[in-house]
Amino acid sequence: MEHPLFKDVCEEHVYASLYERHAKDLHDFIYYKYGAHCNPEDKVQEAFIKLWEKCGEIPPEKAKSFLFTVANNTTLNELKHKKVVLKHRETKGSSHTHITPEFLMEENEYLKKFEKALSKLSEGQRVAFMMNRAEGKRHKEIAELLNISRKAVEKRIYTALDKLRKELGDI
Amino acid sequence: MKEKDILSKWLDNDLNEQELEAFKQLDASGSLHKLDAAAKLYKAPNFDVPESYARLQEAKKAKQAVKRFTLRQFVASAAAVILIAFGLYAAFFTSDLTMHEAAMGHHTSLTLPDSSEVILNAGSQLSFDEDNWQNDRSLSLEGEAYFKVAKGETFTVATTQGTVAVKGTQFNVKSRNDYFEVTCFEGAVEVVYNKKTYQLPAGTNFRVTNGVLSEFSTQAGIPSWIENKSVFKSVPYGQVLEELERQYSIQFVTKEIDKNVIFTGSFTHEDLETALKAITLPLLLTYEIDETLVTLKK
Repeated sequence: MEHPLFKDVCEEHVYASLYERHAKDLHDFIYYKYGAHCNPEDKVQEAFIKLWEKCGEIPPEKAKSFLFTVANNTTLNELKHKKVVLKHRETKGSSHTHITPEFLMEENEYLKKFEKALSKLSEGQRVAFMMNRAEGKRHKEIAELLNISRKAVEKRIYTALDKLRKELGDI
Repeated sequence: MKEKDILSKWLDNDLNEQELEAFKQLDASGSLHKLDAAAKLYKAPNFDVPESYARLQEAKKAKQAVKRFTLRQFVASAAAVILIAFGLYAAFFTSDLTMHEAAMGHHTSLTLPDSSEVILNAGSQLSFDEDNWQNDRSLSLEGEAYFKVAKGETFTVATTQGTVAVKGTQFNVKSRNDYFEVTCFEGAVEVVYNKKTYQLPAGTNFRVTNGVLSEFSTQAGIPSWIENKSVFKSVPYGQVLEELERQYSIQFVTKEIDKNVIFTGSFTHEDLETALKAITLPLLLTYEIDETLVTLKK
């Protein structure tokens, strides 16, 4: 039936472990790249359904880049005719303990500026920066995830940081 | 260590305690820390892996049938055998239930073997045993349908929520999530709900919303949806939204909306914008259309 070499992705446990390993990163990738309004969760589902449909043709080691490409393309197709409006909302209120009191006071204004600055970054810069700062990923991990060199990741993060600090008036 | 190196280590989440102290001494550390805190506030929403995997399994199952079919191309010879076996199986073992379906955004009308007429509302399914119709005039319904029954023996419509039995009459049955409604337009019907029997004369509307029973009277001669309009009288807003989703084959995003607000009003099936205005203006809501996704906001 299927190509014997590649048939493992069709096996439920291989498929499930691919999900375990990549679903969250894929979700975050779409989220940071395009914003919340394009339903990153649905894109993850669509990509994994496509993977399952083609499980006989895709070797497990290619699954990750297949998933990222499919999710990226479906999102792009959807956004093609629309203006991309980025809105990284999810301000989680002031119950967070790691925020200092004076931060709280200026929080709203600062966050507004931050949001605006964030949306001005290039997609690549934003993904790398947020994977690093918000998700706490090491540069090496991000490089693997995006299939780019570590140097490129660092460049993106530094540029993002510079731009953000400028926009926020820190420099 | 140079400032630049400390910074780059900080950025890679790779500072040891000593270096962290050095980082804190930097002029920029305060503003960097603030920026970092802000970035963490914009973290992507939690992604529940097991929960979303379960949903994925559901979606896969829905596609399973299609998948088997495409595999057939790869195994033409084996498929021939399977198909024959399948055919035999279908001929001998499955019952002769006939199924009719109205897709999202469409109505379907059909005539039953006894020339009773049925019109199915969008997103509904009706099945019955065609060969045994003479002995057993019973149907099972998922969704909403309007029945114009030919005179004759009893005629029953079973839904997951209750059963409706009739003699020569016109009535509408709506069975959706947590919502069961029967309206009798002519003759009389008998509704069995929760093991109790209720008699509905013509012009009555029997309704169960989230387990609560109520009866209304109605002057209408036929259900409004037949005339491409959905009319609601004191119905939870969530039901109204679900109906609109079915009529236009769209999806609502309703994070901030209270779905239990009681709504009285109507919307047309002919123009989405007009329909959306009709259901949002009374509640002072606004909407945004994004292909098949409609977001409602306060």
